[in-house]
Amino acid sequence: MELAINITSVCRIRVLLVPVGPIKKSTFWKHVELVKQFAMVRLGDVTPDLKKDSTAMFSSQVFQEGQLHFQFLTSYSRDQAYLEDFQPHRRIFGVVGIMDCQEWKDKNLSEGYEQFVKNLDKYPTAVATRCFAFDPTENQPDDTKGLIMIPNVGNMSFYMSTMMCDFASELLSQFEMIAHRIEMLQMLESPLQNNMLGPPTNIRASFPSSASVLPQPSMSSPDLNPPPAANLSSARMPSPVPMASSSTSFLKRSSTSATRSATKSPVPSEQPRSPTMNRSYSASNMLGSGEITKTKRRTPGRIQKLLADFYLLAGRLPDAVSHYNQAIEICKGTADFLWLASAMEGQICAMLLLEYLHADVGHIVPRGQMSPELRSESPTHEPSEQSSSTPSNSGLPSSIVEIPQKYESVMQKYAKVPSTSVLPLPTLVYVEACIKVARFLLTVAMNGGWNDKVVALLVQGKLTSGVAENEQEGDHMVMDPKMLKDSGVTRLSIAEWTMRAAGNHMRDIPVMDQIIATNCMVSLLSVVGFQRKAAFLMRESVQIILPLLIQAHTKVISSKHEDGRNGKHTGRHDKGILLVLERICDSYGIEGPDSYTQPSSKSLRSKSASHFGWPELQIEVLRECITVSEALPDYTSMLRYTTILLRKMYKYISKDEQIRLASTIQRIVAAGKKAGHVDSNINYWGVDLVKSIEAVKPIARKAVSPHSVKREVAVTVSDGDPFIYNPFSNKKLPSHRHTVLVTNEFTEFKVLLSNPFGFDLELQSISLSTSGAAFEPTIASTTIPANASLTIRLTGTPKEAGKMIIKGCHIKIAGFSEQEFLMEEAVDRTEENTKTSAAHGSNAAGQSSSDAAGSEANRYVLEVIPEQPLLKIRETSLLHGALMLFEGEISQINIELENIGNIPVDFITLSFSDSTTTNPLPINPELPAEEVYEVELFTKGTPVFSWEGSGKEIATTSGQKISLPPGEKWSLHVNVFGKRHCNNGTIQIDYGYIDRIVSSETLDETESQKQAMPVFYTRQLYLPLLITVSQHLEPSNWDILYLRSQSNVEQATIDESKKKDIIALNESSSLNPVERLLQSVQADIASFDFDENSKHDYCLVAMDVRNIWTTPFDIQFTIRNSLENDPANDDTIYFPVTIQPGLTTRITVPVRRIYLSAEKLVKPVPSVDPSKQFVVSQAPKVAPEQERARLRMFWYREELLKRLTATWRCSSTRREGDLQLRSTLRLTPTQLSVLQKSDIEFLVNIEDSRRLAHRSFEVPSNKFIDMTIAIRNHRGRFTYMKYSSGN
Amino acid sequence: MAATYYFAIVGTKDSPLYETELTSSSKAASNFDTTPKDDHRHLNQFIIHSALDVVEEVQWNNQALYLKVIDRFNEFYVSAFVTAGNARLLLLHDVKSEDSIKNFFNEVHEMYIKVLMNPFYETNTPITSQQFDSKVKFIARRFL
Repeated sequence: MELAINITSVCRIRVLLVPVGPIKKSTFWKHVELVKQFAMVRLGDVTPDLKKDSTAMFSSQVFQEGQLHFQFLTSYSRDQAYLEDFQPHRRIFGVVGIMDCQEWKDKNLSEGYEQFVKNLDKYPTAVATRCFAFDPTENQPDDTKGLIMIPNVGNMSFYMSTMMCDFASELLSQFEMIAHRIEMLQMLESPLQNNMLGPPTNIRASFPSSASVLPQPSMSSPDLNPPPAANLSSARMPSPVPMASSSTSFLKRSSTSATRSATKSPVPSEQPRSPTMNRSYSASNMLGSGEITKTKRRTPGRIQKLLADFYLLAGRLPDAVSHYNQAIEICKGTADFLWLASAMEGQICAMLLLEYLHADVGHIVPRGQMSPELRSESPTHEPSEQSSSTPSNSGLPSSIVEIPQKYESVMQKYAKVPSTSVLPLPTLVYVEACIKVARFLLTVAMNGGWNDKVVALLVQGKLTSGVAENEQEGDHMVMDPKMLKDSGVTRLSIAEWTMRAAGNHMRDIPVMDQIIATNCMVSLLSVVGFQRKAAFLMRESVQIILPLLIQAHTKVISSKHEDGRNGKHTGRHDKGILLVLERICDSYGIEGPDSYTQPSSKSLRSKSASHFGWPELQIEVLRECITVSEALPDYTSMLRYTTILLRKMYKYISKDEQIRLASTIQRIVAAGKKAGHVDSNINYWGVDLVKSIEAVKPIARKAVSPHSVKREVAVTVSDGDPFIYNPFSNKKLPSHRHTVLVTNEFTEFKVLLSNPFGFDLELQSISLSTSGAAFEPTIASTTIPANASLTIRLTGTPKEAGKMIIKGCHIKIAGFSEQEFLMEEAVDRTEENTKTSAAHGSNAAGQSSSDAAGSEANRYVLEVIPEQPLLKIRETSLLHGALMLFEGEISQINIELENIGNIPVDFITLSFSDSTTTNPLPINPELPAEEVYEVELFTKGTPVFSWEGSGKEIATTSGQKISLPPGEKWSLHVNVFGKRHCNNGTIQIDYGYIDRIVSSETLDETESQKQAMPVFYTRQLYLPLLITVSQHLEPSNWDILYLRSQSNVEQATIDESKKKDIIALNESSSLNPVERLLQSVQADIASFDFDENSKHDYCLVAMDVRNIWTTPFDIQFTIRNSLENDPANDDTIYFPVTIQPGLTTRITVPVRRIYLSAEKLVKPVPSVDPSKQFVVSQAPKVAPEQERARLRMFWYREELLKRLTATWRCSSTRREGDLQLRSTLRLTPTQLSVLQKSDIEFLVNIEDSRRLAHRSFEVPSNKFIDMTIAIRNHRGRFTYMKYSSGN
Repeated sequence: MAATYYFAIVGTKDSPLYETELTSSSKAASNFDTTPKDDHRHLNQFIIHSALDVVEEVQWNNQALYLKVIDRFNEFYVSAFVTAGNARLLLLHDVKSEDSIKNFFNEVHEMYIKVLMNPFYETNTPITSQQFDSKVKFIARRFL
């Protein structure tokens, strides 16, 4: 039943359109729309009643400008029947049957008409009836009396309007009858709401609505027997005197139908009507005699009001106004506030209509018997009691102010009702009045102030002039702020008026009306943008509907075997209420269904960004939503709201309830599947379980490192950097290295999962979800404990090379279907940034810089490279990976490699590191240059490892091309040098397959230059070695002595000794080896090649060599006296010696004295490390002479070490190596002076003489001999000499 | 019947920063059973929430921070006070007394500003300070 929610509702004549079956639903509605076009009939057009035109009370000819407004209804309930005597516009005055002749082709139309007439009994208040038969065929005879055929040809609308005018005429004449009856009434009682008497429970209240007559076309209603009109009218008769009921009732239908129905016997078993009946009695009992007299006193005013109402309905506005004025006067006198207020409402409506007509016609021309009082009233038409009112001219904007003001006083009157009357105020009237004003204001506001258009709209009862909009859809309208400003109406005032209607008193009106009124208020509020208020009321209305839903549901269940219509019926309504729920959720800031259906991480995040709302209320609302969808039952939305509640609000819900909700979800899914409602592929969980995914770095053996072809192939320990500290040098730190996956190789990922819920999550299966290059994940399962996080390792195998994006995980939680959980953004973003800065991905850098693009950038992109070979060290010659060496020893180890991969190896390179190079001794820059040289030579200049594959260049490593097909073995040999202090070392074998040059597709064109450089990957094998270097021989106590035969040794003695020596040599080793050595040198000393101007000076180098080992060692010293590598003039002296364990042997070897040129001596101390950073010496500046002396010392020492080398051999263990002399050799200046040749040399020679020894000649006596003295100046400058001969 | 009050500070995102149920000073000790109160409490919250619409409308037409009674529902009135940061102090009450509510709001606003000055407090997050709670209750006892 429609409520009177428009300010002009009072002037509308309600006409019910009923289908006369059989008729198709669509056809019926089509015709309804057709009839609705004729909702307004001008009085001037109404067919005058010829019989008593001038005398007729509601003659149409008196006020021809007036209009009749019909309100065509298609449904009707008796909820408001008690108000019909109070406000006649609530009555159904006319019934129009709509027949579709097409359905009656083979039947007699009169049958249909009879059916219509029979059904009329249900509408006892209808005073005029028509039955329209649409679309008649040619052969259907138009002979049924009362049935009006409307042919679908010609000017149909003209025909229709004529019919409507005719109908109106009948109505008017019926009005007269009713009016006459009213005038004769002695007593008129205020309306009393029927449910006020019984306990106002909702169930009870809902009965009338369930019994409402819905004129569904398909619903024939033989079961609902119409109550006899007489009986009904008496029942609802508001007469205090029961026996006067039938006579005083003006509710009776037109006499014909009344008499006809009177012939019928009353049906006593009409239960639903009984409350009405009861009311009538009890009400009369309730009224005391004093009340009766009061009522009697008030009756004249009430009659005036009713007459005015009928005048208004009949369009006789001037009469209506005058009658209203009278009614107001009288009612005020009798303090009859309810009727007074109602009369005022009617008056306001009449004034509005007058204003409308004024605008329409131009000006009202009163004619005929227009009463003179009207003439004075018509322009000003003020109720005299309105003290504040000013005379208003129609069309002035003041109406906006005035009408609410008037209604304000109406409200005051309504408020006074309870105090002045026994019967309480009918709440519906009050609520309607509030809504009326709100709608009035809204109409004004939406159309930009008071103007003719607004008046027209008000009269039509529409909010906007747009295409006939359904009022329930009013919420979709958007208010134009400019219009609002122009109109002078504030949103607040509209809302205030609307909210006046809300409140506890709403519970007094019937449930259906409550729902309609609430919805009406909701649409009003949402149009003005008060979404929260609207949601509040929406929630209320849902709460009102809920019991009905449950009722309907149980009814459906109880009568399941009934035809499906019932179910379908509720289904249609379900959709609506679900929409309402959604809107409530929206208003309360609960995520909408959009993000639910596609809970991609993006939308979830954007939602959370704009997260708002009151959590407790959200929970409350969600619970209500669940209850409602449970009542329907709609499993999908039930599931939706449960999951929203769980995943959004888990922070605010206790653990127990979380568990309950989680189990509920499973239950719903199970039930839903059974009912076939729930799609099993729904995502239930919106919370991101997956916090981060990270590829686990492969083990060293499997790690791959990229190389560009142009660069140095393998990078040894970084010593190419000239700076002590280089901030850019640590780029290649392994932590920043991009993880690269290899095709067809098992890869591990570290996944951090977190469970924010208060219960354990059992993951039946979890696997990585990727895009890009094909990837075959392995499925795992785990359980995340409540409120905890868990790191698990997920594995998988990439199947092809290319770029692979890791999106998240596919997780199947126990009891639910599999769902993809994406990685959380925040964690990933930072990670990605470090990744972008590292070597790869200009690609990713571009994306993350454009942060807005977002979704791309937060992916974890990994590169998958083609298959790589895999090698294994099959065996080595080492025992337990350890090696014992003597200092200076050179040993060889064998390493056998096997290709255990699937593709061949065609490139191999070795690089080494040992403990002395990886942790080099720190060099103190304060140290003198020569000591620095020593240290450097030790750390850098003497590599522990060398590889024969790299050839002679020991220090540098380079690759070697080999061919090693899968499954084959290959061995290589590495030399190890026993270096002091070395305790471990690593052999790194890099290998790869570079025939296929990998051009990495991941690089963008921004790095096209880099891209031009192909990248290949190698893998490393590491062979760690434990090295023990033992010191076995240590030289010490170095000394350098003069070796010069100054003494004049007799040749004979020499010969003698020589002879002896030879004998000794032959017989035994009595001769000291040193002596023997000297012997051999002696000749050289003596040999004196004068021509060459040179002589061979010798000095003795002596040292102690101690054997601190347990086995004897054979040492061979090699003295290379001539360094000019002249094989012909090989002056190399070998001096073998054997040292027994624990013994110290003094070694004395003759070494030629050295002369180094001056140029050589000024050369600075060289550096072993070519790329060393130069550091300005902090040491105090030394004098140049001192500096020169130091350089000389350095260079002579170097020269000496070059000449004097020693190797050792251990005969028992077959080990051999170099004896390290360098470390112990320290020269003193005296020793140096012995070692170096003097600057000036004298060579003395005597011609023709026999040379005996050094500077001893045999010359004949008394004979002049020539003695030549050659003076040799080794200095780099001239030397002045003074020659003096002293005898 | 003792006057009951419900006080809430609502942040800019419609979420409550602080809420409390207050009873009038005359019957401070009264502790009526909680079961019907719980039902009641949600209604209070709903009323406050729906009143936010009105607050947002009224605050632009009013120079003062204290907006007086802005809404009513059944027998309840809603008084509002808008801070400079657009946090809304809302009081649901069933007895009209404009001046005392004004004083109450002013005092609570001062307290709220003190909370805001706390460097560890983030705006628009619930106020969990015990001291704030007790102070609000104290102010309520004084003025309401």
